[in-house]
Amino acid sequence: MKSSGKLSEDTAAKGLDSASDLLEVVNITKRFGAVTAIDEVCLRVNPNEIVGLVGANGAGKSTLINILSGVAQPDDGELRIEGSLVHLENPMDARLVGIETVYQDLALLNELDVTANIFMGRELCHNTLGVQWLSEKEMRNKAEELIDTLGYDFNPASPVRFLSGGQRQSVALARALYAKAKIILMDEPTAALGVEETQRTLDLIRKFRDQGISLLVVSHELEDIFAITDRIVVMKNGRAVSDLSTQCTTHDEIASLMMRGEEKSII
Amino acid sequence: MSVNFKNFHSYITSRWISHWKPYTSTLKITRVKILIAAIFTLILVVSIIEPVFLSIHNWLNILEQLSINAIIATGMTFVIIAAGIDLSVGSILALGSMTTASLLVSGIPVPLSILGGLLVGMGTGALNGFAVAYGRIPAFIMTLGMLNVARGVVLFLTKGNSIVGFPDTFVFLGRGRIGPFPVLVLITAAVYVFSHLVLTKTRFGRYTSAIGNNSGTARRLGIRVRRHQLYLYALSGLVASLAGILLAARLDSALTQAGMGAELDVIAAVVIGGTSLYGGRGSIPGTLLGVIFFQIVRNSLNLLLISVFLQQVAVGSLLIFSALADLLSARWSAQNK
Repeated sequence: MKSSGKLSEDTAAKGLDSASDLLEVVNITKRFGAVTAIDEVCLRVNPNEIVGLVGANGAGKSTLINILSGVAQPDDGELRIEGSLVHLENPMDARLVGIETVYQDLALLNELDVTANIFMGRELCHNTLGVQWLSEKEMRNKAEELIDTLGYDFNPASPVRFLSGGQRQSVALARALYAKAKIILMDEPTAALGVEETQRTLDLIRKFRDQGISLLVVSHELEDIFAITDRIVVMKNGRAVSDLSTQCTTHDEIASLMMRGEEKSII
Repeated sequence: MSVNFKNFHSYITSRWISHWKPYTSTLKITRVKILIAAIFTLILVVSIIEPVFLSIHNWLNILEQLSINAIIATGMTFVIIAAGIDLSVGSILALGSMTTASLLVSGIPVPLSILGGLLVGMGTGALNGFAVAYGRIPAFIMTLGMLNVARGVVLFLTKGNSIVGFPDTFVFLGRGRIGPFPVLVLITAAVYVFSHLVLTKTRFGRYTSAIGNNSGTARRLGIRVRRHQLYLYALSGLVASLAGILLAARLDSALTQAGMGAELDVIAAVVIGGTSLYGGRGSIPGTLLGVIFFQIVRNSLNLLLISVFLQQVAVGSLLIFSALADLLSARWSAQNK
């Protein structure tokens, strides 16, 4: 394994040995008609790692997140989780292989209560007479526990439309926590939050990593990206143009890569 | 979705302090209360003008009359909560009743005949669901088309003739009594208890609300939205044909024009019962109140000897009024978010 230069160091150290990769994106391409939204993108996320995904509007970040969360299907390329090839036909497939997504809009159902939102799609049920009856009490207790783990304190029986921005996000995070996700995709986690709640969310993201969960965080806030990530991937015009260790790069470098897309280290 | 936290902060906080009492929507309760108040006012006013209204005979009559629409309304509630609509219930009712009737008169045993009618109704509903969910045809158009198709099939196959004269065991379902209770009313009660449990206590019910609340979000959370929609329309077809079969038993005849216009009464009852036409919100007890309200309106208009034509005006106006109430309450709750 060759390691030369500061930029390729990261890829060389962690790459090549694919068994150690938690998530591996290989040459993924997605076209919408004549437009190629993402073009042969490669990306890897290691265990216990927070990777930032940055890029200007239209760089293809959202499309990539949609593919990883099973919302969209790629035209070409492959996805691997812990070394094994996966096909994500729909969002449930992604959740089943351990990919949880915290969408920018948090994907909350406003009319339903906190518990229903946390367990949506994977309710605890007991089967009587061939019908799946909800185990409401168990879910409520578990929801309370999850909210507590995240450092929040609110009624798991209240409809989510009455919650604050931070509380809403904690519901989406509780979902991922409950699912025992291997990797959490977060799309603009701090965009809708105030200063205090942003700080709280960043702390939570670190806490997730410390518990052995990897995260792929998409954000426009370079401050936040630099504060929490171990590695930063820059996208430009549908391509992953750079993959840098956070410690070895600067705001200016990332910003100029986002604008000019200068290909310093092609993965 | 923006949340105005300040408006509700103190409210929510007080809730937490009071040991996290289970939250119930104040809005829903208000609407149901209004409906109950309206029903009692109506009963009071009409019984003063026409004391016959309060007689047990009249009330049994009301209950038996509302049973048929009440049963259809359970399926409709599920469909509307999931932000859909089913206009074909009246025709599916006729199709189901005609199927069972023709099986009965050709000597097929009662249980099998009923099963046949139910399967045809469910199949027709599934066809609606398939076209809506997988073919992306707007529910309004698909079920409007089916309203005509199913009715046309009934008229064509029977050449416009009714089928009369069924075995006693079958007629018992529509006219019999167990103790003081009409069998029809007991069956309706059972349907209501079961659908209420399904809506509030099962995964199926929860997904129904989730889809009506936001089908895109439901999909992103891994719910098979289309398959669920298919099930919902099949369910609506199933209960519509059940209603048709019971109607045939009650009348001891299957009429080609049975259930004509039922969709209007049923949708109006469901919406006035607090189920939102925008989906995501609604309840089975609310629907029951809505059905009772409508039947009392019709019954009292009859007792007051008001022209059938004017009754139609009244029902149509009530439908429009209930849709307006739904719109206003949706706006009201949006403002208070």
